[in-house]
Amino acid sequence: MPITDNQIATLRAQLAGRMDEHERLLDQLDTEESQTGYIALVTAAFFEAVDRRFIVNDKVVDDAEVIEFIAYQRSAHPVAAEQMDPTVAEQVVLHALGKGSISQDVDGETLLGTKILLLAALTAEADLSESELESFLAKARAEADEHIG
Amino acid sequence: MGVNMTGSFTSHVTDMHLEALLALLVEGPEEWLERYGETIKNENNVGYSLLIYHAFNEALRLRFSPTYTVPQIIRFVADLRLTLKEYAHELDPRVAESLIRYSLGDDAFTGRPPFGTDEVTVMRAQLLMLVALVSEEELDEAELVKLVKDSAALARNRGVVEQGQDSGV
Repeated sequence: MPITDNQIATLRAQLAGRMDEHERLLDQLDTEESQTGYIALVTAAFFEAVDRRFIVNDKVVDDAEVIEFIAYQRSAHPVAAEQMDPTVAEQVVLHALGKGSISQDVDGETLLGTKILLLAALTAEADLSESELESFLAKARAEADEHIG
Repeated sequence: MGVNMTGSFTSHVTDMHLEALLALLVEGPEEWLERYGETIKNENNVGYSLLIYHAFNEALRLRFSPTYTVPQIIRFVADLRLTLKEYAHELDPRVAESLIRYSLGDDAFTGRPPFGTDEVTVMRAQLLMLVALVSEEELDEAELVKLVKDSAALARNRGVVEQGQDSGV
């Protein structure tokens, strides 16, 4: 089943920082199919955000840039510091860039939670305008549709 | 590892351990490896590990006392890993931050060694951070000797206390 407008609205609310609306919409994704679709959308958005931030002039940046980004985000945001394991976060970003693998000890819930936190950090840093956010969501939607289709 | 003939652990800090740690901090890892590497690797005593643990604690206090914040710890670990360049993965950031917060007695931190990893990873993190801390504080040889001797005294006192508790004294 293709990505729905409700799933897009749920992610849009989160990335725009409207957390009450995000949680209300997230509660409405109450079937296994809608949750699977939402995870696919978040994952596609995460990959798109990572590419935009860490691929410059068609070249993947050095690992140091990833270390620096995660350390900066965690030191600037105390909640993220506690919730985001730096080891896992670095592995997840580097893996998305085709460098290295994610430890088998990392469970699915931690993996998804880390991607959501990183996605929020990446989009906040990008400071997207409303139209840029729509364009970003459209790209993620197309990629997620391709993946689950 | 440090198991004696009766099957119990020995954790006695010897003068050789002091000399070995000083060699590492003053002369560097190659000198340490050549003079002490094999002996310490093969010995039946965890005293050297205990000495490093206390030296790490002492060095931490030079850097993070009297107050510190979690962001400062995150920054310290990240900066150290950036200096390690392609060897950054040798220092696990979660383990390093956990070690620092545990050693400083952070009430908000509930993790306990070995923080879900293995002893080798913890020991490597302690050593890398110890070397970085004493280098950052620019301790001269006399100050390093004092740090190592103070650490040995703490380690030996702890050994006495533990021995007393074990024998019911």
